[in-house]
Amino acid sequence: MTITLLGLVIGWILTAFIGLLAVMILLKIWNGDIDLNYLISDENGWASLSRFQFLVFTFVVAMSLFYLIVVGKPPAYPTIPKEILALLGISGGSYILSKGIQNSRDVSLTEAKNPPEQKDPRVTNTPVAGGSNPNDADPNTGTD
Amino acid sequence: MDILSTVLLYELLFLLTALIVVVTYRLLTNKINTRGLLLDKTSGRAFSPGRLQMLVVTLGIALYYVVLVSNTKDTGRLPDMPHEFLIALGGSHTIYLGGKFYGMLASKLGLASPREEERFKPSKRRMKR
Repeated sequence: MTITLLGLVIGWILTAFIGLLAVMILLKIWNGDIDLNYLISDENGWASLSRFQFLVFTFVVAMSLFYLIVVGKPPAYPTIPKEILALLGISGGSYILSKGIQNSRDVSLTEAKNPPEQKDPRVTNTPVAGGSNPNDADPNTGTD
Repeated sequence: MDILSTVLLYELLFLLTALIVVVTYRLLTNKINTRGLLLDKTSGRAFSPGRLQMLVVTLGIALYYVVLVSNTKDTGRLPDMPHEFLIALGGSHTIYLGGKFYGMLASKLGLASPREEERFKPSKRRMKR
């Protein structure tokens, strides 16, 4: 009886915590305190296909897991097959290889005294002492 | 306990759906930076067919998997991805990485396009820095 009650209390505390966290995250995104501008961009400010792919697969796998847990009778965490891990592995491995190639090329350009072009500094919502208002800058304005 | 699991279910459903809607809306309205998504950064920032095919394959596989999950009978296990799709994804990534690797090699060996060659020359703007 005591254990059941304790489990219930912990469950409600966790539910409240997750709910509060969800509301805070969504409110901060809505207010612009969480900046999504560069969600799929690389360190030079260009959109990255690998990061976009990660985003798509993350949403698909998260929704699939959620759906299967909910429709299961009784609800249970489903087994994740090897193919899905391979899918995420291919995606992640390609991202790392692509970064390696990109960095190798950037090093070559830097050695040729022609460093790769970078976009204007990132627009963030983090206050910078003595800095200008980050919201004045256009996040999509690059150097070319 | 039933109330607790119902609350948690709707809470997580709300969070996941809201995140997906917000990110998708911002992507479609260009509030998330998508500049250069289909451009090859290793060879003069030209349009890259390799990137386009990878984007199409990614979206295709994602959509197919969503359909697969919605039709699955066995709820104790995520549905298996057909091997053909994994091979297609692997091939797509190989083409993409191959193009990128070629762009890097071409730059090093002087086989790059005139546009890329132009990028190697120090510009007046950079020399002023």
